[in-house]
Formats: sequence, C-alpha cells, structure tokens
Amino acid sequence: MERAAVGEPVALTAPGLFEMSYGLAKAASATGSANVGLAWLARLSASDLVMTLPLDEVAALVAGRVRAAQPVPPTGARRSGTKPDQRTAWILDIQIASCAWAHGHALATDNRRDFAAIAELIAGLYPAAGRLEVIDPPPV
Amino acid sequence: MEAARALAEDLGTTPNDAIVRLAEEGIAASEKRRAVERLVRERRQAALDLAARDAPSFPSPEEMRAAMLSGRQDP
Repeated sequence: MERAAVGEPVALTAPGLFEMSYGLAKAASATGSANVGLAWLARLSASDLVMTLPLDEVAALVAGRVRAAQPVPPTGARRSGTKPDQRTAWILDIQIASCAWAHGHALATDNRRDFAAIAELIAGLYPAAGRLEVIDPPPV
Repeated sequence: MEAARALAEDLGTTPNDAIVRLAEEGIAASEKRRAVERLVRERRQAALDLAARDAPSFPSPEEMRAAMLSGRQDP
C-alpha cells in the first residue's frame, strides 16, 4: 500500500495471479455466489496499482532448471494438503520465484522457508547473477 | 512548479528547497530503476547464455518429446 500511495505499482507475478484467480473462482463456484472477488482481481490487475511480471522465456528457463534440481518440496517442514497438492504448490512457488528473479524484484512472502530454498537453488545455478531477495510481506 | 509549491506547503519550506527535494527523489528513483534494469540484463544474459554455450547440437525429436513429457511423469 505504501508503494501504491507514492504511485509505484506493486508487482505481482503471473503465476501468483493465476493462483489468486483460481482460488477466487473456485470459492465462487463452491458457494454458487457471484464472482465478485474475481471481478475485483480483474479490475485490480488491469489498474495502475499493480504490474504483472510475465513468466517469460528467462523465468521459464530458470524455473525448469530449478524444478529439475529439486523436483519435490524440501523435506523437514510440516505441510498441509495431499502430496499432489504439495507438488503443485512447489511448482507454482518455483515459477513465482523465477518470475521475480528474472524481472529483478524482491519477493515478499509468508512462506520464507520454501522461497529461501528456491533462492538458494537459483543462486547455485546462476552464481554471478545476484541472489533472489526473499522478504516478509508488509504488515496488513 | 505547481508540484514544488504544493510540496513546499506540505513540508513548511521554501519552493526552492522543495525543488531540491523533488530532484533528489527523482534521482533516487531513476538510480533504482537503472539498477533493476541492469540486474534484469545480467540475469537474462546468465539464463540465455547457458543455453548457447551448452548446446553444440539440437536435441532429436524423440529427445524433445521425452523432455516435454518428463515433467508430467515424475513420481
């Protein structure tokens, strides 16, 4: 919100937008309600308040290499959801991190553990190209 | 000048000081943007150069097909 206040758009990654769109559409479908949330997201994503970082050729190449290096989520953390759910989340996290890295952005997340692991993998693959910065989200 | 006058009012300072403040903020924003652009160029080069350096020949159609399906067949 601070960024928006000074006219600087908040960056969302395309895979992150996909996740939000999916979640809102699924919730509306489950309750049979109008897709108010999805309409809001569509308006927001088209506005000057946010910019969407595409999963471009660089991000896609990086994400593929990261997944090959670590096909499944790291062990050691308690995770919710089924194994396929966890696998899907891991692949999306890889895509989100790769997008942020490719476009030179830091990544704000509650899931510091997994994104730090992905940042480590990217740094191992591209040691001379700077590390993905993983930061806490701003307080709500 | 309107922006400088408005900022001077907000800060309780002179329009000249406000112009200096605006210029400093503009320089900082410009430097930040240039730093990000440089980072993006370096990362792009790192990601794409690898492909050129490690690809003495094209993969066969069979290799490409196997590569495309491999992500869907992982355990």
